[in-house]
Amino acid sequence: MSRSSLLEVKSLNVYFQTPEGELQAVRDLSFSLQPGETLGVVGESGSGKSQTMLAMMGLLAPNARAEGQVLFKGDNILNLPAAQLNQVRGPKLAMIFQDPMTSLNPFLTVERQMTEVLQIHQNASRGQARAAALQMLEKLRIADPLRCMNSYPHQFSGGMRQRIMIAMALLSQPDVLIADEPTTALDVTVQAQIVALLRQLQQDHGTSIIMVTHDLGLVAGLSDQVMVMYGGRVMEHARADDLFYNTRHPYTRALLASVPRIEQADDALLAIPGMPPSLRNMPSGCPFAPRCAKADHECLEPAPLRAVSDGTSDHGVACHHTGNHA
Amino acid sequence: MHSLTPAAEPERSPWRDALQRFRRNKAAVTSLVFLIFVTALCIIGPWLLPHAYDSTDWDALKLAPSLTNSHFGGTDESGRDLLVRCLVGGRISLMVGILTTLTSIALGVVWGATAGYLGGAVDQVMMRIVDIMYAVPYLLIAILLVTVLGRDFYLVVLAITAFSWMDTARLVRGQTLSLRKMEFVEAARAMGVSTPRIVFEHIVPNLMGLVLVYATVTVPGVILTESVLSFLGLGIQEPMTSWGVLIHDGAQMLDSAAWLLILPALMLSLTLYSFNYLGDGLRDALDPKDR
Repeated sequence: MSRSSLLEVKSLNVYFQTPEGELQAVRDLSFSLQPGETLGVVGESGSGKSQTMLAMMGLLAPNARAEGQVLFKGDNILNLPAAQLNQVRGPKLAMIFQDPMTSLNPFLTVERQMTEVLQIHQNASRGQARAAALQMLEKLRIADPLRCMNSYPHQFSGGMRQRIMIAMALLSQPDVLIADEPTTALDVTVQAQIVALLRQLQQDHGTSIIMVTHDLGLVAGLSDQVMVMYGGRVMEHARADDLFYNTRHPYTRALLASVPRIEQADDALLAIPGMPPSLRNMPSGCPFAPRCAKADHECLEPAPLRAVSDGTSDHGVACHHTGNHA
Repeated sequence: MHSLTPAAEPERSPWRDALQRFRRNKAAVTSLVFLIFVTALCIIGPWLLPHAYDSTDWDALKLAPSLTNSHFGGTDESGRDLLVRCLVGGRISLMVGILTTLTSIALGVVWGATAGYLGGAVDQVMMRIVDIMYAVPYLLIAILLVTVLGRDFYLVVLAITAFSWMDTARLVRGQTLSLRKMEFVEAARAMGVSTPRIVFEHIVPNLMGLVLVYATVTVPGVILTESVLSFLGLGIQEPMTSWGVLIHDGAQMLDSAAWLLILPALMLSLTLYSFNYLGDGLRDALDPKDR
């Protein structure tokens, strides 16, 4: 990862100020993203993946604070003043959200919402912006884009709205597209369409994508590198092939084992025992230790993310027991 | 892909849906028609009637309403035509009501949406100012304003505005607090939309339904406040008049010339009722739970 990265996150920490004191939602997270590359971020609810993305966009809640560096083309986004930050997010760094039903303003037409980015950031005239929006809707294979532009969000299904969100995010041709669980609220057939769409758009525009999800299958089909998060930490981070075929971390293995398979017997669905830890009582050592079959006294100490050699590329694992396979 | 296209109902805005529901509400539609009628009558009427609002007819002092002479609505104790005075007074009352409501709603929306969206210390300071305004005795300030600046129609508008925008501000702030946590606001921020633009282009359109309803119930309140100010000699002055002034004068002649009270009071109360029914109808029509 020594090439000049498009986006580089260095030891990002996110803290929340709460009545019970300061809680840490993300701990010492680092990664880098090359142009045209896809990073999959996987984790259960509360693993800190969404907060990481919000921190990168400068969208954290008022009681949250981010430390570390988010370097986009060399500029640290975390330190940018609001006016400059608004030059980056939107035109360069775009985000699509989990729930397409609530991410569109119910009182504005699709046209008004889509053309806004171009009008603010590229000084496009109304006509230019409209033409560009129409073209993008066509590209996303939305039937009758003209009528779509004049419609209001409530006239569309969830899948259509998510397409509109994607079209909107891609209009200004961003360098990085952050997709925070873009298919979670959609049904499975629509999910597949959205994923195919993202993949095609990536090929056409060379956009880098950060795909946040708890669906390992989605990540497997789309990602170049995969980061597994748990309890606000990175548990394992590797090229997608390595992560799936050369899994090192017990948590990743447990996640993979709990993916239902069609050839399994009905009662063989494996679940990871226990619950993810809450931020309020995070274990002082490895956060996964209380649920881990391999945990021993060593795991009471935090395990730093260490490189293990696969011979081919970087493969980071935060576990004391990476050596003993099986 | 074609299965994902919306049903064939192009360009159905939330407003159009509301309009359809509004049309089904007979009381509200009647009120709206009545208000348009009264407004038109107040604007056109005085030109069509044979008397001026301030000219005195010495042969017809305190004349009772009748269809046999040219004073259909009767005359007051100085022989001025009551119907013309009611219509001219209606112009003033409606103008004060609508103008003041517009300014006070505009101020309240800007104030409330800004405080609600920015939150934190800004919100605290802005809402404490609202609290202080509630505590200030408005009549005292109105008297001071008029004493210092003299009597003027626009001063009445200003004085009433200054003490009627706070309700809107509170209402709008509350709504904004819940709207700013919506995902579409976050999505707008993620698009690099500036804060003022988010407040006025993304949040305010979502408030318009509520504000519209609130405006229709503010108008009657403002018209009544103007009557109070005029009654105290701080508002509209003779020979110009308003419904409030006419009612006040009429009340003093109740024994000898009841029509002087009945005609303006009827016009005022019917107008106020209509505004309230209109507000009710709008609220029901714009209520998203009704969809």
